Amino acid sequence: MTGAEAIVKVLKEQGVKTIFGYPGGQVIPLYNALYDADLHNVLTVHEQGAIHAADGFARATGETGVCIATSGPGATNIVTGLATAYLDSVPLVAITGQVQLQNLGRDAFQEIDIVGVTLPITKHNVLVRTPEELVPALRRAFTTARAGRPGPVLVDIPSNIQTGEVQWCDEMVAASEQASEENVEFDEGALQAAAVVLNNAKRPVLLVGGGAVSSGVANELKVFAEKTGVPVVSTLMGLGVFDGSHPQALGLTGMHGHIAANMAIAEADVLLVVGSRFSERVTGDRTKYVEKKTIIHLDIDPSEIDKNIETTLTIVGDLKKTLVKLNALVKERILKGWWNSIKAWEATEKQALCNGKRLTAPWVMAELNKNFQHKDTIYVTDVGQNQMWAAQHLCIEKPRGHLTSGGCGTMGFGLPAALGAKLARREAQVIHIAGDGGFKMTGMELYTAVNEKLPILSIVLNNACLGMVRQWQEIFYEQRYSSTLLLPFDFVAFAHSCGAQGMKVTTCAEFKKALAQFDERNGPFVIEVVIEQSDLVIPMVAPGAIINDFVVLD
Amino acid sequence: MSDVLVVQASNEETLLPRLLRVLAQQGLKVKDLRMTISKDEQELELNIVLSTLCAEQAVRLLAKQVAVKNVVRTNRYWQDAI
Repeated sequence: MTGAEAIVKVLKEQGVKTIFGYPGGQVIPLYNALYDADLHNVLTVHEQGAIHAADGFARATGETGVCIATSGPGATNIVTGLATAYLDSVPLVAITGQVQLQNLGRDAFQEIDIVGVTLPITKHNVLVRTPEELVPALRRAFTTARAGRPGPVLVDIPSNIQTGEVQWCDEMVAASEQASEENVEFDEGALQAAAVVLNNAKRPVLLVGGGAVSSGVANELKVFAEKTGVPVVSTLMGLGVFDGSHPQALGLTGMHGHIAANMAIAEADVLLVVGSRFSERVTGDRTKYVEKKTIIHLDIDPSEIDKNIETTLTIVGDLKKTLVKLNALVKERILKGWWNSIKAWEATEKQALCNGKRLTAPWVMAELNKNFQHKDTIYVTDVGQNQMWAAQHLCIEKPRGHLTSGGCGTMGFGLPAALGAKLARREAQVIHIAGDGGFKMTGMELYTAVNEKLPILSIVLNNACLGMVRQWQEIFYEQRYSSTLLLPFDFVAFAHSCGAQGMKVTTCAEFKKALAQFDERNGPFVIEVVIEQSDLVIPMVAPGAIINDFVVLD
Repeated sequence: MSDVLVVQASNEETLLPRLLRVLAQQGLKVKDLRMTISKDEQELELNIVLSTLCAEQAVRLLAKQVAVKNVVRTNRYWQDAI
């Protein structure tokens, strides 16, 4: 068989049913093989759209997303998507075409050393140089992408490897080549010590991160929380792994965390951290973050232990295995005094922007909760104020119900990722939330959503500015709004030009009406929500400040 | 005093650039690097002498690279060449 046929065979063997990509010169052989392959091959408008869509697909399911791009500019167009996936530990396999072997290193047409370019942003990458390497390299890419801490893998395939003859090989990746982190010896002593600390804690807090979502430990966390009575706070990436509507859920912590969540962290004597990497967006001042508390860190990746903060106890290994054992050791508790303090903090958080007197983003989120809570809903956000408002105010009840670019903060991620999520879970309601800036970056993928008949609901929060940067300029740069104020853009006309439906709303009543008009049978729907430029995301902790040192705004 | 890292890994094309990238990103400079290859050319052993001590984090990041099988760190005192 040809190399291209072998690639298709490996994809099917790995259980891939949907791929995202954009053709070009050095992947024509592969696309020729895909022409009559039994795979759903999604053509996007831009390669960046393809890789974000593959990413959204992966985040929505936990399966490995697959993206194809040609050499040169096609490959460089997926760089941002690889970085996005890398920083959020998303399993992806990116297949790029490359110039023919005899042209490598000769600055051939559309030749870029994409393996060199993506070394820092891939879990692994490889240039296939012989036909014998092709099938093993692809199989290994899939195994590596999903093993241990997931991540993106790039396989660069010269076009004459795709057209040349390949001997099919049945040998699978050896178990010994699986990610080493899956073979870490479990520290029973540390587990016992952790249980003792937790059982004696006066003000314990459970912090859940993205690793808890990847590991599928929602049930184990619920058991732990209900048994021990602890308050549960979440990083941006961990939202939904603990039911946001649960009485013990305090919601988002970090730079824009809720007051009670951040105060609980600051005042805790014991912090159990599950699958979080202590991003500076979560900790603020790292030195103060760890003061006067015992920190127990559970993670699958040894390189995260003590990377950002010094922890007291660490247990490296599979989170599910660890939590099952820990749940057997912790005692049932009722932390009445601690919860009294937490309730008092909760009462101090202002809800002024949510009262329905005028159209605001928090009010919009509350309306979405009313309409979509307790349903199979996936919220996919872009980056900026829209992302923070969504994280603060949406009630995310299940893991993989909130997809966002956390680590890289990639504007434009939302729409193509929503597309991928909808293809992954057709029965779910996919709601995309973006700002006017981010929507415009990849808005052309609305055309893809129409062509693929994906009824995504897109909420564009239009404040005619790059809101989060403008917020920082207001607070920290004396209101010098450099390059953040945007000219008008007709989102409704744009939606129509793509073949989608659209409505513009300026009042709460109009929004309710627009929401009621959304019908999946009519395809993608864009609601442009006009909000005040001066609305800020609060609470806010200044970068590098202590986690409970909230910025005071007039 | 400086660290010496002994890295055992699969002989892959991207191994050396990956290792050097990790070291550079961690702010480490390589003073000396010796590499030996196994008889079947499948495995490499690298002795990397750094110009300073390196943090445990750097060792963990090296160990995390897919092609790397083991990393051992020792330290040594530098003596001026006579």
